[in-house]
Amino acid sequence: MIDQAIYRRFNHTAAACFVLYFLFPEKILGLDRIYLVFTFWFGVLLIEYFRLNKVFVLDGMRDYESSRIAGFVWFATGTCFILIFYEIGVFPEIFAISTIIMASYADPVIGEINSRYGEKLSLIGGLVTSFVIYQLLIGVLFYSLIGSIVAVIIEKPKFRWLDDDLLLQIFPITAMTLCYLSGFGPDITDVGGIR
Amino acid sequence: MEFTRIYIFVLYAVVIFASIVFFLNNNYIIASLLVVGNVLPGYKLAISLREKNENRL
Repeated sequence: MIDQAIYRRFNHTAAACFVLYFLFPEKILGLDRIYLVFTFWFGVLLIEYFRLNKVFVLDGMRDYESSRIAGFVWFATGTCFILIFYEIGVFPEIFAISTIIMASYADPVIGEINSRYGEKLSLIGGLVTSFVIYQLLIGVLFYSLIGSIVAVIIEKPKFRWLDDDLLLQIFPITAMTLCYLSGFGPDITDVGGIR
Repeated sequence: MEFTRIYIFVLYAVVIFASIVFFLNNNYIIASLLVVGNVLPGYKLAISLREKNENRL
């Protein structure tokens, strides 16, 4: 058996590659690329439906996920939510890119530090990770602080029917976008965005 | 199990491909983040895969 914990971590960090989407052409086979998001999401839901019905077994699942929605579904849902709202013009591109990468890395970092050094250090580790990613990509201290603080706050509470993989994406990007659109936050310099 | 191994190799390929594509598009920060974020878990997983194969021999 491969190490299930490491397998889960790698799946999580590899999810940062979802940002490849932003390099796709606007139209794919004559269709808007947003349909790709819906297709992908439908595919993930289909896989999860078969997994929950024991049609097949997936590696890397936690024990409690045998009878409830798995983390990868929540993560994919959060990413698809971001991409859809980006496509309809709600979320700025750099917020979407940075949040997808942040969520891919911050959650495993928090989990890994939590298991080795405890909760307090895991919060600091999550805060530093998310702040550095936001700062590198957005380049505005205000949004880096807002995004990273919201991410760490929302990561901690545990809900039975909601997963932090989803919340870790939706809440930080919504908070940053609200600040940006309301004029409360500064302009975006977009230092690390797609050019 | 065989499916998982193939899936892992596909993931490796996607990460490498994405990093190269972003690098070639002059998105150096994103490319670097993809490499830096995946190198440690990817390396640990490769070791885990190798140990598993050694046990099988």
